[in-house]
Amino acid sequence: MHTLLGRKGTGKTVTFKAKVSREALTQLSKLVESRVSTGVTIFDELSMLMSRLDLTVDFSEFSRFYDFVFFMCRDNGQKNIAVSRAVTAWKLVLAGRFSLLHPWCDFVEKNQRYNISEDTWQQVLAFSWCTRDNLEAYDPEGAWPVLIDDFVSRCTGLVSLWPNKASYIFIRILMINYHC
Amino acid sequence: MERKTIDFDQGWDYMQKGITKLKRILEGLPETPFSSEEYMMLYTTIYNMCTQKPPYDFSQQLYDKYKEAFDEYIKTTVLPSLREKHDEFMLRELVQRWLNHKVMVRWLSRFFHYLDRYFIARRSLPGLNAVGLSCFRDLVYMEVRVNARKAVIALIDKEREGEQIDRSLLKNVLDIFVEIGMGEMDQYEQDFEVQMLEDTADYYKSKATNWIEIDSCPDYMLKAEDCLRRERDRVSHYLHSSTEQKLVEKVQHELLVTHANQLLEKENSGCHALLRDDKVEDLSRMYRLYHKIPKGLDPVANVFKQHITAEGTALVQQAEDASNQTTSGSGSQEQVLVRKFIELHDKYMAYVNDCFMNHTLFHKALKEAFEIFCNKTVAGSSSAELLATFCDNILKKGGSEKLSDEAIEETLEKVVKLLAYISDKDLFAEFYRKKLARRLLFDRSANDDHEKCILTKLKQQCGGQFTSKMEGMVVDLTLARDNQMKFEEYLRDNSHANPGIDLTVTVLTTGFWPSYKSFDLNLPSEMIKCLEVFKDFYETKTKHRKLTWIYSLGTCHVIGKFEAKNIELVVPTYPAAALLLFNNADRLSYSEIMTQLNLAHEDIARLLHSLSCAKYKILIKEPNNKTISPNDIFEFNYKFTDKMRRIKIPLPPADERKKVIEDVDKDRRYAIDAAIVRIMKSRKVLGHQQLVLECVEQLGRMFKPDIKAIKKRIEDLITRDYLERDKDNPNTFRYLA
Repeated sequence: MHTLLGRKGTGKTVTFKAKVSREALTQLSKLVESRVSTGVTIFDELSMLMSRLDLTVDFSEFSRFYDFVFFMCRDNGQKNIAVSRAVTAWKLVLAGRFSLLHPWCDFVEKNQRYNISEDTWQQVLAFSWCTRDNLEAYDPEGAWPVLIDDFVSRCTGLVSLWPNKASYIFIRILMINYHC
Repeated sequence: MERKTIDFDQGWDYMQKGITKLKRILEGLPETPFSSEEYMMLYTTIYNMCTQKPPYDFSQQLYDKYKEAFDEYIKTTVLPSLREKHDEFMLRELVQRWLNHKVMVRWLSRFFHYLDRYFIARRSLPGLNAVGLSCFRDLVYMEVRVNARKAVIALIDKEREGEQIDRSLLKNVLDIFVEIGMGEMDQYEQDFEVQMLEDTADYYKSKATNWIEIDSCPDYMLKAEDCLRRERDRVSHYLHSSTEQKLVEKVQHELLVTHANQLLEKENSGCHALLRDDKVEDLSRMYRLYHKIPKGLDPVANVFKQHITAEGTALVQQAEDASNQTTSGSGSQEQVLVRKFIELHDKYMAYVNDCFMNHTLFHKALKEAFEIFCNKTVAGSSSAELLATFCDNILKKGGSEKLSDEAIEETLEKVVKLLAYISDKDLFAEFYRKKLARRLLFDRSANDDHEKCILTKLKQQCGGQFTSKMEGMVVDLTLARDNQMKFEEYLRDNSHANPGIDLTVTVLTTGFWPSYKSFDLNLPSEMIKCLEVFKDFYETKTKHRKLTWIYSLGTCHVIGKFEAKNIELVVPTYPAAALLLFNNADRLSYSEIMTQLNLAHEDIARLLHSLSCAKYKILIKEPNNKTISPNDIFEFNYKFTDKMRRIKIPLPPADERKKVIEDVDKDRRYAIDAAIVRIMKSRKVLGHQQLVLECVEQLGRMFKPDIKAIKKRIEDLITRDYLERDKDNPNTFRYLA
């Protein structure tokens, strides 16, 4: 698995890689299902997987892995994943990559009533990337999921007394404090 | 015979005599007028001198001499006479000299006409007329123009101050300025108009500065209007018509534009005060003055809008305060509010039509103002609900029977107009529908025609889709009556099927009517038979239709056999079912009743309350208080009596507000979904902002969608695989077929 994710392939190897990925995915899902009964959680599996992967790859490679994690967390027959699972997965997978990871997870746990959809999952990664330097890159008029909009307005709302510039400085401090 | 050659000096000598005679005539000295012979001779002299063979062809010299004649006359006679006069006298002299000059040109050019025909044309030189005029221009006009202008302007200012002046003199002087341009308006504009306009500006600037401090807004406007009228008058009498536009603009600028803000915002007499005090005439004047000025009406429209908004908001506040104080009859405060809104609308629409000449800017201001305060909530009710209740009050029995048909129709018309300002039209529709249902089903509608009338008006304003369900409801009732007749026929023909109880059934088409929860009420056996009979009948008419009974809407007539006398009780079905339980037992507990009827706590409590704690105590409750609790015991009240033989015991309507809002929210979610899908299906690929914008636009006819709600629906549609985000741009969506 790790060789597949860690390297960039040529044209031939890409299609080959795609084909092998699909097969690997099917194998892995079977593995996951069989392991459930043995009491090994998906998060153990996930940690093991992560230890075997070279996760210092560039963003597009990493996002493929990240998307796959959603797939792993899904229950059979469900389209979305439970909040608790999503939060645990984020803490594992986005550690060190998302400065606002912990405030985000707190917020989601307290405020999200419904399960996390695939689109929201993917947009969280995009959000973490977009705001890696500062929160100003976030566009409130953009097509972000409502959950992310609410999160940002909560963050900036906390310092709404302060002029805009100062509130972003506050967020940076927040980010630094949480930086893993 | 050969013509004798005319020598130049000789010929010119002859001409000079003619010129001298002309000058004498012009000076008013005694002279006989030119005879035709004299004229002919002069003309012929020129002719001959021009047609002689060289070196006796004197055309050039004659041309020069022609000009010299004017120059000489002007320098020796005209200029000196002008120089010794000033101001108005100088102007008179100028006019006279100009007239004279024109005569001189006319005559001399006739004498010298032959030059025009060949010499001038061949050499493309200025014609005789032009030469003549330019002499005056170059020698006289150029010298006097500045003083002439000053004199004219001084006279104009004098007239402005109210003195009488000689208008025809000014007209004549200004005609010179125009004519001297020889076809172009340059001289008039540059030598006179520019300065005159500047002077006008200064004049009115100082007047305005003065007046604006002292005068009230209406007085100032009167003066301004008067000034404009006078200036226009001035143009028609002596200024050139091309000046009018520029002059009016200057005056408008100094009087109206420069001080617009100060004028309109005057503390006790400005626009706001005029509106407050209903000064219709002054406002009309304000409109007349400002509507020609670009953007001149904007501040007025703004004040208009603010004024209406303030009045409307005050009404809302009043209603809110009033309803906070009185707890009883709280509904009527809100109804008063709707009436006041209508009055307010009538009042200010009249302003728009009369004072403001139906101008779109003011229509817009009125509309925007109403949209602001018509969407405020009063005492927990949205304006949509208030309007629906208002309509209900007019249309129900005992509502407005004192009003004439025309008055009612007029009121309904106005209510529908108000609806245009409400953003949650779908909410109004739902409340209206619920109340309409109650009117129709409990026979509380006062007048069928009025019901149809308002539906027509709603349809005109909001479209057929808005009223289609309501119309369906009205039709259902008509059909139900027919159906009932057929049912009664059926019963007559099938006497064995008769349930022994008079039964009237109203069949409603699902979808037209509001949704009602139907509970599995345990019916008394007598009623069960009724249902079965009707079901059999209905199946003879139509198969493939499912009948669902809504017991909560039914009414029963139950004979209560009391000790004193029998009384007919007109009750809804639930309480009727409860009463019939007492045929088998004198005392029943709350829980027994609940179990036997199989209804929820809410419904049980309500029905028992209406039978034991309201006006008519059909049941005696232990303990004897005003609230129903699950531990209560109920006993049939044999001793109950009333002077009437038949009494109505209605159930108070459950609070429908919450359910209506829930239903509308649900419908909105579907509507937003449908709109998004419709838009994306036709566009295939669309950016987020665009999509939201188009959604809002499409749905705007019925309600104002919340951006967040739209976003949530988009997310949902993504999960349901209707849409996906574009791979390269997450702010763009693609339609998934």
